Amino acid sequence: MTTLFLTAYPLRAAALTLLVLAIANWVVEPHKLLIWCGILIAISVGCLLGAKFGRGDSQGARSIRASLFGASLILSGALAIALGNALGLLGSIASDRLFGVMLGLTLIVTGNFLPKTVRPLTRQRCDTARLQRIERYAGWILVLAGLVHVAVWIFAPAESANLAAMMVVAAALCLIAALWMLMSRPAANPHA
Amino acid sequence: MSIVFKALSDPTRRRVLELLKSGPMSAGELSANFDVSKPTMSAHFAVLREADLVASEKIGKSVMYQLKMTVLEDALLGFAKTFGWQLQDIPEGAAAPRSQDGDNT
Repeated sequence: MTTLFLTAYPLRAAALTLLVLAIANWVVEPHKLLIWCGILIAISVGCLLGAKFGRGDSQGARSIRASLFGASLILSGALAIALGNALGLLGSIASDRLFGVMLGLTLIVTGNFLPKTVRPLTRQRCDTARLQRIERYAGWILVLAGLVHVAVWIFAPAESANLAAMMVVAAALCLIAALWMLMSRPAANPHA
Repeated sequence: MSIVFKALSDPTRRRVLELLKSGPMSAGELSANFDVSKPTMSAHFAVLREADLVASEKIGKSVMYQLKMTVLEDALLGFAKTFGWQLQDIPEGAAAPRSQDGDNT
């Protein structure tokens, strides 16, 4: 399943979906020309990056393809919600809730894969064990924060959901920063 | 995903993953914690590498292993440890294929 998402075909499909959604948004709301032009430029840059660096089966190329695929999914989601809103299919509250859920899912996916990033041991200049522990805890914190973020945007009252969700993300980031500071400090020498 | 479940179904491989949580270790250091032969340990390492749960790197004469698990895989490891998942009906030799690359310990 993972390898399927790392091939070029889903990336092409995602880019095409993104292009269709951007053009549809342009047609529905032509007065927001600058935004749609910006998105079309972003799609072009993504396609160029994918064509230049995303070829082959190396770890770097797979990583670039996965990143581009993730970015195009997020952008497609945002464009689909904007289009639904412009066509009157979604109200402003429903749009806000969907954006919130999407952001929460992004946090979950980012946190889930954070501890999976492995750098070659020979190139690492810091304490690898400590760095991996920090990444593992940070991953768990982001996944849990993402789950709470999604739950807040689904269940909390519309007027307080934004503030509550922001507080969840801020608390998670503060926790990760505190963890980083505590765990990156060298351990005290008991024989000193 | 089934390959991950297979990798997590064996107590020895789960213990290897637990040991790697404390930091990267060489194949020799990991093997020293188990009362099994080196070829068996190599087979366990091969299964873990195949499931993409560990990354291996040759440094000098030894092979270093480091953990490469997502949060979901970490949670699955926790569940497997708690509930003691095991391949009851598959013999040990069949569950752990022989390593082709021959780890240096």
